[in-house]
Amino acid sequence: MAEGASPEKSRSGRGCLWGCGGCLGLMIASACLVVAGFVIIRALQPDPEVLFSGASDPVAEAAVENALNNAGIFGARVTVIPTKGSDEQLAYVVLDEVSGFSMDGLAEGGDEGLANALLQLDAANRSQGLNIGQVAMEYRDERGEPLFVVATDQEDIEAFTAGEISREELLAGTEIDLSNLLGGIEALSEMSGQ
Amino acid sequence: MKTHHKSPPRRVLLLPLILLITPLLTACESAEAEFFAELAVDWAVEKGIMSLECKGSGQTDCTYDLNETVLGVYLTGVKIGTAFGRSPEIQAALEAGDVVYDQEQADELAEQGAREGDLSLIDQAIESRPDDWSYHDQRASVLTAQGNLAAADESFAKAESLVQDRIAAGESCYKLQRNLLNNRISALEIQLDKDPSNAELNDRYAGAFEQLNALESGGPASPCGG
Repeated sequence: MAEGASPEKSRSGRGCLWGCGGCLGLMIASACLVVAGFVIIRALQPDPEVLFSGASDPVAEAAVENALNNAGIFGARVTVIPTKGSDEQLAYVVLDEVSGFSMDGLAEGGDEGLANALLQLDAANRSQGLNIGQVAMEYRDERGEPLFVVATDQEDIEAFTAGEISREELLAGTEIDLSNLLGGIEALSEMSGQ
Repeated sequence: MKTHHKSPPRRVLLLPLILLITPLLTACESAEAEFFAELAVDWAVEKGIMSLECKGSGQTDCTYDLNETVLGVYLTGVKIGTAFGRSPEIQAALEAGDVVYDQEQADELAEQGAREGDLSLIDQAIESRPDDWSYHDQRASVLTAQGNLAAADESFAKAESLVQDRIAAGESCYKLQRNLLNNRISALEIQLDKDPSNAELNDRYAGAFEQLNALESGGPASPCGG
């Protein structure tokens, strides 16, 4: 024991050390648990590379492209891929400025234009038996870089076009991956800060 | 972030999301940008990423909040996946971009290989997406055009076995057979454009059409058994 240090102070110092160490240990253990939880959740999810490993459906692609053209969306690249282990297919639409994507007709139509686009998609799916289960749209900028992806269930589109759910309910069931877009904004703000 | 405005709700809502979609706005025409922005804002409100409170007569005195915490949790949720109630199918759809990109690259290789009769390019496509039966049919069509019928049959059989495996696992026979036959017809058409009088190509093309018609009519000759 160092000269001049009272036994009480030393005990309280050790107590603090144990307390702080315990807190730190608890925090590390919690962080490890959270990370492990994330890893397990990711591992349990289906791998898109396996899920969409089959050949795309050229008939369904032409039908979806035609439906989009009817709704005033031009220049979209459509890929329809069967989902492994399911009877459904994914319709993945790339809206690429580089490929001449334009949606003037849809934009000018506003909400009615959107409803019409979904109606056309739904009609094609039903009348031609395309078995589309999910619809995803990826927007690429003028450099061909993906900005965001929007995905929704075809079931929700059907319910919306049938008037069973509202526009708000359709949006609530829609998911968007904004990470590329937000990453771009971060890069822009870093550039402007230099 | 909290702001106070006196203007119609929709206009008020547009402001914060414009920050989020700046690159998009620069890329789009104004009508497109406004359309996207309105949808994005309404979506953000539905997800709780933004909140809106309007007071006064006509509900024109509106306050909005961009909830950074909810936005952060949402973005983390997109990366983690189903943790926040998202269905696995929707999560997979959000993540399918890389698969579609790889497929576009492989399709280009296979098409170039089919046009130029270069099997090595088609083999690269197969290596990139080994379970995609359309590349095996491309390969088989090129081999048929080159007169290597035994090897062509092997590749046709490989395409069929990939499809059969999935049908055996419980997927729709009609959906997969229609897909297989349509891709096969497209692959044979590329070769027939180059060599319209090739008897083997014509035979297989007619055979694929016959099978497709049988499938669609659902008769006993259907590959799915009528």
